[in-house]
Amino acid sequence: MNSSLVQLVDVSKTYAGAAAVHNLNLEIAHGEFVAIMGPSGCGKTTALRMLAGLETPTSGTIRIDGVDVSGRASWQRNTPMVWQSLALFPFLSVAGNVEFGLRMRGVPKAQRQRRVRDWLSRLGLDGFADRSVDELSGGQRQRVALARSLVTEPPVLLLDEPLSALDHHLSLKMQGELNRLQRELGIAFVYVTHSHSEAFAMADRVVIMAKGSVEQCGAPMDVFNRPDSRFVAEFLGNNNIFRANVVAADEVKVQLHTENGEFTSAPLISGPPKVGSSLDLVVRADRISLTTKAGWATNEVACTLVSEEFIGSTINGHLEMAGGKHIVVQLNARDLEEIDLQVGRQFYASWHPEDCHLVASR
Amino acid sequence: MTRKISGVILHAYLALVLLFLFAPIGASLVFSFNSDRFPTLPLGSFTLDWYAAVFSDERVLEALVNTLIVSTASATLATALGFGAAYTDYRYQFSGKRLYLALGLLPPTVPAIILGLAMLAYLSRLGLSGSRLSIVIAHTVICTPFAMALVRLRLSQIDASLEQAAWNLGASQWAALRYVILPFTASTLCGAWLLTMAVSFDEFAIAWFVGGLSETLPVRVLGFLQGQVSPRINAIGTLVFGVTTALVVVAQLILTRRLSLRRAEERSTNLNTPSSS
Repeated sequence: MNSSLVQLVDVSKTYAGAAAVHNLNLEIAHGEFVAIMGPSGCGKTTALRMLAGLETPTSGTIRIDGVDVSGRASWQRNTPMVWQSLALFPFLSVAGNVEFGLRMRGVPKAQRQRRVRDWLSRLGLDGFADRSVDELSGGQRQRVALARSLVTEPPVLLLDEPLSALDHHLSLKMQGELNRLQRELGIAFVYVTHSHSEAFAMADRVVIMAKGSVEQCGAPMDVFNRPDSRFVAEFLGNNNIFRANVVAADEVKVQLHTENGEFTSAPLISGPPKVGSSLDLVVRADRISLTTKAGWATNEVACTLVSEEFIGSTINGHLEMAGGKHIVVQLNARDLEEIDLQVGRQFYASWHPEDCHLVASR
Repeated sequence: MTRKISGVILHAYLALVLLFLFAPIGASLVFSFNSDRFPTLPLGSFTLDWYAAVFSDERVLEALVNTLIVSTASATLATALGFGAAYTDYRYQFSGKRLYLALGLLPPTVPAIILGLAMLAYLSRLGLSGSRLSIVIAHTVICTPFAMALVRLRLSQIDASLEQAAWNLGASQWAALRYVILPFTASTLCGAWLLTMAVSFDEFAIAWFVGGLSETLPVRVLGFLQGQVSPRINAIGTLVFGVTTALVVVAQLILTRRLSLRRAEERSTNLNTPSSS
């Protein structure tokens, strides 16, 4: 895998004895859009800052294009970053900001001006060159930050939650623009975010970090459909997790015993689990159906509606099962035509064995 | 209603305090234009004689030149040192940093007599006493903390990622200092320079101790006082006060214009990016 653009090999970063990043291994290919997400403190920003050269790894190796850059300062690599605060220079004009990287690298003035003009027009900022950055709107400032980072034509662009300060509408628009830009340029984007929707919408591959290392990594669809640990399932949200004991298992299905009843699931990817072992059963909220009549599904549990929240295109129903455990069911408008959501009413929640999966219990 | 009354009382109180502070200076100003030799009422006629006398006195002119050289030099040195000290505080974490800051800010709290005496003893050991250079050194010591405090305040407003962004874009540490930190603090440095110049311009005690035969303007005023009471003192006093006030006011304008610009900038940022996430 020497064709990887970026390689992090056993990278750790320790602050005063506490590990922010622990034995992180990650490879990023040329032209790949990788989103790194995880809860606060999982080390995602530290990992990004190490790529940018703003933190030095305590141990491990970082290679970019096959060259070990672990010991190089930020100004000795071409790994520009788009900051959460954007960090535009307030005392410089738009053009002055975009020009900065070229000026620091000693590019002659005529060439600088041409490249700044090109990038401004590429990002739809024609005519803004002489403006002060304070006069711009949020979206325009975002584009200045992008132009400033891209003007040196780096092989990889690092982005640290760049859209978190924008309102939802603008954020969606910028997501589209970032995707388009990344495809056009063909360079790698490493995008750190805490937003699932941003990561899933844009990335070719998502990396979920926990406690300083990679918890799961894969195509957005795969990670979303099959979180392979309880942590990822909980982090992604909208998953119901049952602690389950394996009663019987073969290549086709697994019989499970839980506090809330007997369920059937597809086996682990690695094969049927050991009988008697304890696992977690993950059931996505949008794969559960609600009915008022019992007795026609394999996995079925009686429950009472406690509350509902209107999300927009969908509704989340919170139901309580016997024993007090809650289950979340995501319903769409069509479901609502058939059932009447009334708090306090009894329902039966059910799902197909293929719509749930088992993960190792922690 | 009570609010109105308390407002009136507050304004009256403020007026009294300002009167108390500025009446002596005001009196000095008035008498500097008075033809009578002694400061008595009723006033005599308006005259510029005393100013004419001041400007034809070679010792005064010499003192004025000294003062200008000393205050320019010590303001420049103090601003440079204060910037260095404040940037060190901003940029680095090290053990004993609190002690470093306390020591850095200490000089103005030491009584001028003590500082003057200590300076005299120390500088004479080095063979530096009794010259303009010795006053410059002593004034740099008392002025630096003011510059340092102002620059620290300014640096506390910087977005911490600004300097890192510069490194990330290929600027070495020196280049980032030159192209990011300096422009960001430029107006504060101007303000600090003017303010420290004002401090040096009217400083008397230390200049008197270490200056020897090279007199600054405030020292010359004392010389006049010891000789004879002359309205020339009023004239010099008014000039010194005028220059100092002008320096402070301009410094204040530069510093607060900077601050209010920053507020406007924050306001517009808030308008443009309504917080959502």
